[in-house]
Amino acid sequence: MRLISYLKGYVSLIVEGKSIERFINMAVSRGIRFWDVKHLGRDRILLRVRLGAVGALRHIARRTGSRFSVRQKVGLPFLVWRARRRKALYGGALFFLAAVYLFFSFIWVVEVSGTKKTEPAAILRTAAEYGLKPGAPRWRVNKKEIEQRLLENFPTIAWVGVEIKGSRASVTVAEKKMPGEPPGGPAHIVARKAGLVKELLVLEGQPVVKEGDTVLPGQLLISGEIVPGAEGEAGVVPGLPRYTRAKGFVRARVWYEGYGEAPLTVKGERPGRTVRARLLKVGRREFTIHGPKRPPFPRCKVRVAVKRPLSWRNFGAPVEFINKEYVELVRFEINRTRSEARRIAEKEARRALASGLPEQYRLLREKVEEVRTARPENIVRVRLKAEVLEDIGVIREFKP
Amino acid sequence: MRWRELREQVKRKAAAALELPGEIALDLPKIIITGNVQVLIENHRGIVAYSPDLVRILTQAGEVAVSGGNLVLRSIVQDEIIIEGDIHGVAFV
Repeated sequence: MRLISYLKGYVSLIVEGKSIERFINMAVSRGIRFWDVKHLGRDRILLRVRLGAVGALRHIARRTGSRFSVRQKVGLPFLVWRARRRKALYGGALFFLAAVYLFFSFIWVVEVSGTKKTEPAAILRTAAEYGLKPGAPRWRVNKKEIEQRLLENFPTIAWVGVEIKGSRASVTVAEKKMPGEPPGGPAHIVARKAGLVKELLVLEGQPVVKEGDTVLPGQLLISGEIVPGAEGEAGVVPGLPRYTRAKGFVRARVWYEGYGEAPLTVKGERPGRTVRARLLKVGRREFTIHGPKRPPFPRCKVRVAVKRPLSWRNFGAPVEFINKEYVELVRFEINRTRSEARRIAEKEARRALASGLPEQYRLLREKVEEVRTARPENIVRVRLKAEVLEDIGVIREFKP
Repeated sequence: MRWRELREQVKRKAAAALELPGEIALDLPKIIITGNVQVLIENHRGIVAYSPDLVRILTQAGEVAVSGGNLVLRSIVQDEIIIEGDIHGVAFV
């Protein structure tokens, strides 16, 4: 009932006049309903009536010699009416929504992902050329076209996807896998380390060493400078040299050495039993709550953890809880036999040797030898020698 | 609330019509007093006077005076008046 009258709208009226009763009777007899009629004072009453009846009441008031004034307007029709009057406010709200919508219909950020070799900046530049740049309206961006253009402009790109999410555009790039390193300018092949050349396979260039030669690091192996007739080629007159990028394999025997040692007896200390103690420290005095008062082992390590309850910044009660952990240290001595020690030393030597080996090699020979000193020692020393076949060639470019 | 009242009124009216057509036949007012807070008068002929402590209503059976304090006319329609407040007395004058 109340809801209905709210939806239809009603007014509170103050009626004044000598014959208010007549006013009421006349209105009521015409089918007007009043409610919440209150006496305000002499010849003044407050009443509520539906909005539509106000016009009729004006007529009745004139005939009964009373006046009325609207005191309050309640209900939905008045709200609507007021809303119509405040056009500027609602227009502003609408404008704001439109502005927000407009704001998000522009692209503000363009990002590139997936590039490895291509410059992201170059892709951004090209994309901007075809309309994808910060500040561009979304509806103007043709994703298909930009993808196509980027593919045309960057031959190294295999696939490109343009995606727009809100005000952010992301360009995802997948690059082609290019075959190796493109052949560059003229180059020699030189030795990376010292060795004895065992195999020589020249694909391009002029060999300078032959199998069986001993080479030093940095020595020229295959030359990129081909001098016609230098090797006594028949029918070729020695003339201008030709430059090329040397290619080939130079496998050489390389020696490696590793050293390792292991003592026959090892002395040390290891942690043993553990005993915990708990102390309470008040001021400078310490009280043991439980556990031993002094270290329970002849040799031990103490770990201390201090807890300060009731503390805040630098203030706090001078009370501390202390947890002490006594860890016993036990002496030990390991006696090894000679062969045991030698095995450990050999392992050590092998590890030392392995750190110098290249990635690819073939083990040709290996020799383990014990280093004997003049007087007997309490230690076993082992030297490991390995002979390895590996490619020692390395490209070095040069300017003719 | 009003629905229940209305239904009860209809019931009462039907019952009365079957046995004795009291207020309908004689056009007498029907007055329902709820505690000392509400007086409902059906079949009235208009109000004669209204003040916070006395409301006088014209009916076929003469004037009905409702006395009390802080009297408010909760609702007035053509044949029904609801008076609320601290009711002291209902009298036929």
